[in-house]
Amino acid sequence: MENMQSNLPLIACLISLGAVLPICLFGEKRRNLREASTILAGILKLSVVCMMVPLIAGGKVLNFTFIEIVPGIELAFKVDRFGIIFALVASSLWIVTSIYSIGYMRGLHEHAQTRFYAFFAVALSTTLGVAFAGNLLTLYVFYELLSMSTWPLVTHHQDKEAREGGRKYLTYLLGTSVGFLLPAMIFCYLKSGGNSLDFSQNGFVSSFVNEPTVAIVLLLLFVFGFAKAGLMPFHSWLPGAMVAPTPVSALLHAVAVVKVGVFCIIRVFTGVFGIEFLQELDIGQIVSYIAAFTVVVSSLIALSQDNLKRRLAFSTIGQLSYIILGISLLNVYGITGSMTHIAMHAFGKITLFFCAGAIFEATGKKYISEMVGIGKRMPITMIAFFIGAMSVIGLPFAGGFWSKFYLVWGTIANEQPVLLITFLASSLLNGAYFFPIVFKAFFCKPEESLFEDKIEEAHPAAVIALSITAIGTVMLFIFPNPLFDLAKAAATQFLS
Amino acid sequence: MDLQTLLVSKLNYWIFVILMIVGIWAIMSKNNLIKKIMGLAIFQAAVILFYVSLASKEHGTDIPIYPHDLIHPEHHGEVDHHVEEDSAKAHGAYEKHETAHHEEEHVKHSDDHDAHAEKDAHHDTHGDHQEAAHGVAHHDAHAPIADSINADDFNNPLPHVLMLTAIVVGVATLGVGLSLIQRVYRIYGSIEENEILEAIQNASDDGLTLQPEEEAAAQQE
Amino acid sequence: MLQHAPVIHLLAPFYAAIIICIAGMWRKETAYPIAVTALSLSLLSAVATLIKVGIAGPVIYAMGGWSAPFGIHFHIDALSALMAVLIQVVALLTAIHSRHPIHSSIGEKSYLYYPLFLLFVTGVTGICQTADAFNLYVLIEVSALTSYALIAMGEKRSVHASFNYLLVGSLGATLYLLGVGYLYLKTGTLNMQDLNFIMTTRELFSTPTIQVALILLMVGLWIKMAQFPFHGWLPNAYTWAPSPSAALMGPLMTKVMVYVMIRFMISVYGLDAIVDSMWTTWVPYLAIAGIVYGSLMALSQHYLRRMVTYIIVAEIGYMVGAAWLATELSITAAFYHVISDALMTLALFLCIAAMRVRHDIRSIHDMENIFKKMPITMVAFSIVALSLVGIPPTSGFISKWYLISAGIDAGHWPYIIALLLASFANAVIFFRIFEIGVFGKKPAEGHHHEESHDKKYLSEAPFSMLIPCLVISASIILLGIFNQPFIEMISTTISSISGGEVLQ
Repeated sequence: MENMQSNLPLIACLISLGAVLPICLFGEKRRNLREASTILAGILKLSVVCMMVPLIAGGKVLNFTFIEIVPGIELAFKVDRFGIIFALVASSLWIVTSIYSIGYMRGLHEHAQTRFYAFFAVALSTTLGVAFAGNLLTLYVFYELLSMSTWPLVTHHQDKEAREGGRKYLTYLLGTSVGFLLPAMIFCYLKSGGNSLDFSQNGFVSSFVNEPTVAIVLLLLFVFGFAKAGLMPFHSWLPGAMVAPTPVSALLHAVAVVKVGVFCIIRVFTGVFGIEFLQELDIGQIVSYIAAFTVVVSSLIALSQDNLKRRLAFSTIGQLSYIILGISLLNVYGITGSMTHIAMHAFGKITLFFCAGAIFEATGKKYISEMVGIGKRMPITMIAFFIGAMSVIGLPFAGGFWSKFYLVWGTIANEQPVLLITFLASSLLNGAYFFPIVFKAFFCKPEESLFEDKIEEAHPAAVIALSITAIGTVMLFIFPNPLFDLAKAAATQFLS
Repeated sequence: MDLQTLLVSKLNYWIFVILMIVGIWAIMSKNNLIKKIMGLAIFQAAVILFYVSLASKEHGTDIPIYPHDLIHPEHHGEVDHHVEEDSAKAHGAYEKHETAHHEEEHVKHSDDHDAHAEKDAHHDTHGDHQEAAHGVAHHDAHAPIADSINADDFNNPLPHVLMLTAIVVGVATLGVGLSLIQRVYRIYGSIEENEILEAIQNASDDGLTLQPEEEAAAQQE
Repeated sequence: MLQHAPVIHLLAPFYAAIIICIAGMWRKETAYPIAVTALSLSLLSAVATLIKVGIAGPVIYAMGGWSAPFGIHFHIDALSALMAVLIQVVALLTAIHSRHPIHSSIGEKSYLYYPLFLLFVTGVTGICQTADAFNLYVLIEVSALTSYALIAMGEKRSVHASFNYLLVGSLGATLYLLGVGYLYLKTGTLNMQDLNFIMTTRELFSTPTIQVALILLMVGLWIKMAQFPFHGWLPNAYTWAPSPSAALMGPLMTKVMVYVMIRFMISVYGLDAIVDSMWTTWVPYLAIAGIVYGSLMALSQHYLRRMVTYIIVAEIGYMVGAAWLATELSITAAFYHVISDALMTLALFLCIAAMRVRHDIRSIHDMENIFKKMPITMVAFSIVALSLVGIPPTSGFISKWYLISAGIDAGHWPYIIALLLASFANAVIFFRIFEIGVFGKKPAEGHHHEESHDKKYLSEAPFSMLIPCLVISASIILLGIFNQPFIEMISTTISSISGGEVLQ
């Protein structure tokens, strides 16, 4: 692994910030130009990230340092394999989400679209900042900036529900980050001699923590401090944030926010504590059980939700805990599985959300009970929904199959039957709350159908977007290797 | 020490403590604004009295303006040495600091009087032109007069000087306070605290702590 | 000329005050330009002094050429120089900002406002630079007297508020004077370095006199800095004062008193005498009480100015708590927070004044759709809000970082918890404001179709008020990102003072 100075991370991060100015200037009057600048920025961003991929796949690490902000710590980017995986997911999905947003926002004649696109761009900048962060402080800075920049998006509708959803959002996210994360981080900084908080091979916690109790407390502070990962009991913000317009929900669930949460937790496990250290003290188990609990409970709650977006929200909570469970297994399969599941789940979930939004935009329906027979009206949408659901459940022909495969293998390798059963049971539950939707949409008696037989999809841009992601999901099943090679290399590196 | 000694030897302390308490009590509990100001004045007077009482010595007199009339030649020799030593110790910290305007000041520490230091200073803020005995020495480095004066004979002028400043400050505060009271009277028509608070409460709907008064933006007189 | 730099920024406002009094009787419009010019000059001088101190170490300036311990010395080390620069920056920006409010509220007699303003600046600058304890008292009273007058020029209730402030403030200053008297009683000197020297060499720290002196000094200073439970004068005084006065005094008066407290703690008494005493055990709890009280009261306020005053009370709690943890790290943190908080308080007062000028906004409920009406001002306001919550990379985050570090280092967990709760309270306060400002109080009736109709409401503050707001918000971010030089300067100075080096 060799280090290399490069401006590419900085450029990639700042491209979307640079897009904010044209977006604001063009405004509503020239909205085609405005949308064009968003998409252009997205393509540029993805290209820069792709430029970095071959370098990193070849084993290099790209560095960029800003300034020493606290003695011994600089704001710095350090892009490794794991970071680039996440960056790829985020930047590619931004383009698709922007296409979708055009369809959705225009189709519904939403207000304040300029503000929407502008803050979306800022949120993407901060997401890439997290992906590229080289030390804990930089990670924290961009994590907080992400919370701040997504709040206007969550509260977009400006009505009473939006306000309450926004409050819940901030309360949970800021409360945990300021209350748990900040002290834990400063504690680490002080105790490690104030040298650095860099993510290193074997973590830096081992230099000052010997007993398991302190390590466990610190680990839990970090894990709960990154509440964006949705571990119970700090998960309520996610269903609450569903008051946002669907593109925002897609962003939250697939592109940025929750993925940032689990990304940070994986970084904590691998870079702050170090897998070896955690194995020695054998404290991965506690997190495994918390995650397992979250998986089961969230799936059960999802079953009881009639609001489609809320059901998807709880499904996400469960899926995130899969990822956390995977990393807490502390073996190569688990880690590989969790990294790749970030990507697989992103594609799958975004498809599902796009479909939910398309349904709302085309028919105004939010509740599953109202969606009987909708397959006749919106076949493309519902097929995409089916594909997305398969990916999330983990069935073949959708990318999620591979990542789940690795996760299950990980539990077998650790000889933990309880966790294995948790995975299998939750897959069943996933099926239980997804399949009825699809089934009812397509295969229902003519008299039960609430829709006419005409095909009337949502705004074309929206349909294009969800088709792209659905195809992407299938592609990831057929060609998983590039992603998995990268992930496996990263995992092996973390373990060695 | 027994009660009598306690009371008598520390008399200045007792007086100033009692006056202080009276002053604070007046500020807090009196309703009339002028009485509050008087309480403040009493409080400040107590502190001033305290300082001045520090300065006095048994059978001490004030320092005369032309001290070389009182020089006693017989003290010259022995005191010289003693003073040089003391000044060296006291100025140990200051040796690094020699400016072009370095004056030679002699300090004699007398440990019997609660470590009162004898310093004759020209206090810049005061602008007092009272020439101390040592002051004359500024202009005559060759024949220090300080060694020929016994510090025990004279009251410490420094606290007097400080308190002149403090008195001026007190007077200024009194002036500002009284003009404020006059303003308050013009606005509220009363200088009794309870009536003023009532007037404030009546003017604003929710009481003291919330909305400003409607006339808030009016021109000031 | 440059050897007199330390006094230029002291005397330029002083002489300008006199000039304005005279010139103003002839032509009233000259007041504002003279004030701004004088303050710009003193800002340059303060920066020059800071650079000189940064390069060459502490500067000693003997007033009138009389040397210590008989003359009055200005002993300017990095802490004093930083405070001097801070004061001039705050004063200059407030002076620029004051043009509009003063002309509209005081009008005819505005030429009398500026001399008081400048005399206040003289007072606080002197406080930060003097090394003589009694001179400090005089300057405290100079700044206090001018502040009573500056406050009383506001709304009707300001006169009564100022009167109460006068009583309590003079009480505090007199207690300070008494404390100095006790110190003088025991040591015979008034010069701070000399006090330290004598107290150390004769081991006077454990004597009752010196301990009582500390109590008197501290209580006096706490009254003046509005540390809970002596804060009673602050909310009323700053709520009803004219906005330039509040903007000038809010950041300065209380923070300069914190500076004096720190100065006495490290230069006169020395950390060794204080650490492990009853003080370091109990005073942080007092500070915690102040933080909690201030935060809770701020949460319950609707009226913007009053809310800010309670935030000030809470912030003073941060500083006092950190300072009395009595480690070098904690005092560094406290001092950095002095600078950071002064800037944040100034920004808050300036933004609130801008909102009041154009849209007559006084309380939170008046702030509907303010983001559309005054976007630039609200950008500045948002930056300050984020800084108060502690979001990186603002200076508020850095000071929280250091304060929490100091708390962990000293092992004082209640203090850390209080800090975090206060951050959270600030988040609630400001996001509530954002909600009202962006969304309006009533829920929107469905989706709006056009954004352009909102442009009609756009009515920004005048430039003279807008520019200072922006400058301050930018400096809050810059101070956060580029905090290293300052932190280094502060902590080196504190270590060298506490290192037992007996300074002249």
